[in-house]
Amino acid sequence: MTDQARSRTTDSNVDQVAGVRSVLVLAPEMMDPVKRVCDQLLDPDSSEGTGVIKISYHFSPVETADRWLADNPDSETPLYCLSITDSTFSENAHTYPEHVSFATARADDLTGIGMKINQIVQEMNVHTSDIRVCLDSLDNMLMYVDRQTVYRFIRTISNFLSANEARIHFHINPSRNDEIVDTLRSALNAVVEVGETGVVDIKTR
Amino acid sequence: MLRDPSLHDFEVKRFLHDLRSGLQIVSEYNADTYRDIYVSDDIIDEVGGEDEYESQRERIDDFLRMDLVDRHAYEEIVPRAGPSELFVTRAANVLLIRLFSGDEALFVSIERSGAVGETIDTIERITK
Repeated sequence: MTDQARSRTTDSNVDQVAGVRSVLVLAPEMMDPVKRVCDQLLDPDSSEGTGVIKISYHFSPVETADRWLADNPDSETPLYCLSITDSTFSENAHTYPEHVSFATARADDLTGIGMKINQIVQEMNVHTSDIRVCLDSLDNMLMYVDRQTVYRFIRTISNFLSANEARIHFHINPSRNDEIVDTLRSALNAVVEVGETGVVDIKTR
Repeated sequence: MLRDPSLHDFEVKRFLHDLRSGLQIVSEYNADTYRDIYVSDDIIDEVGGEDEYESQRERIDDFLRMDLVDRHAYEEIVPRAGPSELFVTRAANVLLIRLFSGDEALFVSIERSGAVGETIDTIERITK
């Protein structure tokens, strides 16, 4: 990464990447300090609010919705929970508010995941520039497809979302092979590293 | 390996005839499927046999089908661009051409010889 700016902060304030369209977060979403960073990356720029797409390899669509609603009980942000799983979505979703939607896609079909994101972006009833996407995690994606294909996926989906002025961030475990992380970070506009104490290290192009 | 396309309507033998030598792979795909319709013996030998080619094919499959997502980005980025019809990669030794028609696509890998434009014109003429 050339011409990069680098800064450290101790308060999990990631405002510096607020306008950046594609971000690699070097930490799994479930770690507590990371959750705050993740929430900040999903924050709206304006009072008009956002539409949020949460893509998870770990949780079912309903589990993802439950986690979001527990943290944001009063939020009416349109939320799409996309679970990457080998099973079809069969959970009871009719008890959820209208602004919460569910979908699944197969883990071994990155094109299908990309098409699904495309479809969700068109379906969400918000301006595309207000859409924020969180994908957790690239570690799981790498269990199904090779590095080059993951690289192409994150380039392709980031380009598509960027063209629609939407934003995405991807989580990856920083303890992975450095070469893989270096390859993938080169596809994105900024890297946010979150330590266990919440220290955030930010690099932007 | 040579077989008729199922997503497209053309005679695959015309590729061998009209493009002369150097044709390596012709395959068809959409968002759900990927299918070879021609693979040269040289390519299969080069990768170490049919089993090896099959694992290589799976990687090509994953990589290429993502075109169906990628091609939409340009419509949004470039005003009045319209849908992408063709992706061309001119590598040192081969031309890799992906041709889109509706929701379907065609992939052609061919050794480089002659002008890129002529090769594309020939492929478009065969597939029209």
